[in-house]
Parts: sequence; structure tokens; C-alpha cells
Amino acid sequence: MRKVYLYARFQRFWHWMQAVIIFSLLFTGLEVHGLFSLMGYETAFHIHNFFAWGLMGFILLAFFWYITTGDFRQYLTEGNLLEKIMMQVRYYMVGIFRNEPHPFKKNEISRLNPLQRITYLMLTLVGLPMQIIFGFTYYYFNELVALGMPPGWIEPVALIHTLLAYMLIGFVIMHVYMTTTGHTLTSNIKAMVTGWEEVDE
Amino acid sequence: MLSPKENALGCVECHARDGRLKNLGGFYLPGRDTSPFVEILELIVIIGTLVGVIAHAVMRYLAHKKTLTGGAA
Repeated sequence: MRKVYLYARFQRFWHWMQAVIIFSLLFTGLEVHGLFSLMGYETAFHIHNFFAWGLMGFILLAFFWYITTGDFRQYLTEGNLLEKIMMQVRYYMVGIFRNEPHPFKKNEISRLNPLQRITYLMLTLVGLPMQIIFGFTYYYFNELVALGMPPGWIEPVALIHTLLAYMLIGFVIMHVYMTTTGHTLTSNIKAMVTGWEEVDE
Repeated sequence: MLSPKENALGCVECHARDGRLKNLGGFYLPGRDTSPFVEILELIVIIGTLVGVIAHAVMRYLAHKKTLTGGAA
């Protein structure tokens, strides 16, 4: 076992801010959706809109950080991406039960496996921006209708926003479970707190 | 004539499953309306993910126990 420094301070800060913001958005969003009544519709609505601006601010900050530091290269894969993703999938389906080593070693230069790269890239470049765009279309619906958007669009906009939110819950469940598949059950979570991760030799 | 302030409505009087506008159709009202398709699809996705990770965790635990006691390692 050895320790490597994987996550810079900004990355850890961004990760946990994003976790807090997304958790708050999911929680208040489900209340606005009418699934339960804890803080009340009106409070949930205001908190939801507040965190929506927070999410947009933080995602723009993260884009700025990834571009200016060049760290976005962590998300690019050389060679056959599909083949490498399948190697990682095979590890979770077969290798992990046979105590096989992880197919891709983590180090200071490469901290994400190919499956993580594609998942986080899709989440950050497609999933969350779509959720933000549909969310703000919902938020400024009256203004957009005044500009000529058909009022009937509120239903598809609301349903897609709901659908994406539910899919995000699925991602969070999977994501939290996957943190237990590191060198030890907690080594991945510790790394996202301290920056240092215990990895296989 | 405008109603007095005390009679003003709160959001939740309409934005609720059984709110004042529960019988007024023809438009989507947040907090009142849902799509059964979206709700059922997502119930399947979320329950499926939960069952999947629990099954995976149990299989990992059993495989781990076998390695410890089976002497394969």
C-alpha cells in the first residue's frame, strides 16, 4: 500500500460544495414536486431557486478552473475508449469478486479510470447543464412566454426537469456505493476529504 | 375591488395535490401535477439501482469471506 496525493484543494472544495448544492436541490425539488411536505412549498421553492444559482455559479467556476489549470486533460482518454471502459466494467462485474487488482492504477498523473472519465464528463458537460437549462427555463417561464415561447411548453419542461432529477438520484446512489470499491471501503472517501488516497502497490 | 390582505392566498393553496385548482385541467401546475410515466420509470430506475448495489455488496462480502476462509489466497 502506498499513498498518493490525488485531489487538489480546489477539487475537494468543488466536489463537496457540489454535493451540498445537489443534495439541497434534490431535497427541495422533491418537495416542490409534492412528494412530501417538510419545510413547506414556498420555502422549498425559494431555497431551490437560491441553490440553482449556486450550482450554476460553481459549475462555471469549475469550468474556469479546469480550463486554466489544464486539469481537464484528466478526463480525456488515449486509445480505444470503449475497450478501456469495458475493462473497467468487467472489473466491477467479475474481477472485484476474485480479488483481482484494479485494471487501471491511480497515480498523481492519472486519477480517474476510463469509466469515471466518461461518467463525470457526461455529467458535467451534458447532464447538469441540461438540468440547469431546463431549470432556468422553468424559473423564467413567464418572461420567456412574454418573449413568444408557447405556454404549453411548461409541461415537457417540468417533466424533463423531473426526469433528470430522478436520474441524478440514481447517479448519487451508484456514486456513493462505488466509493466503497477502492483499496479499502473508505479509502476513496478519505481521499476526497484529505486529498491523499491509499492505493494498491 | 381587491380583496383585503388577510384573504391573500399562499402558494400551497393551489400548488398541492388537492389544492384549490385540483379540478382545473388543461395546464401543468407544479406541485399538483405529475406524469405517471415519469414517476413509474424513475421508481424502476431508483429501486433497480438500490437493489443492484445491495446485491453487488452482498456478493462482494460473500466472495471476500470465501477468500479469507477458503485458503485460495
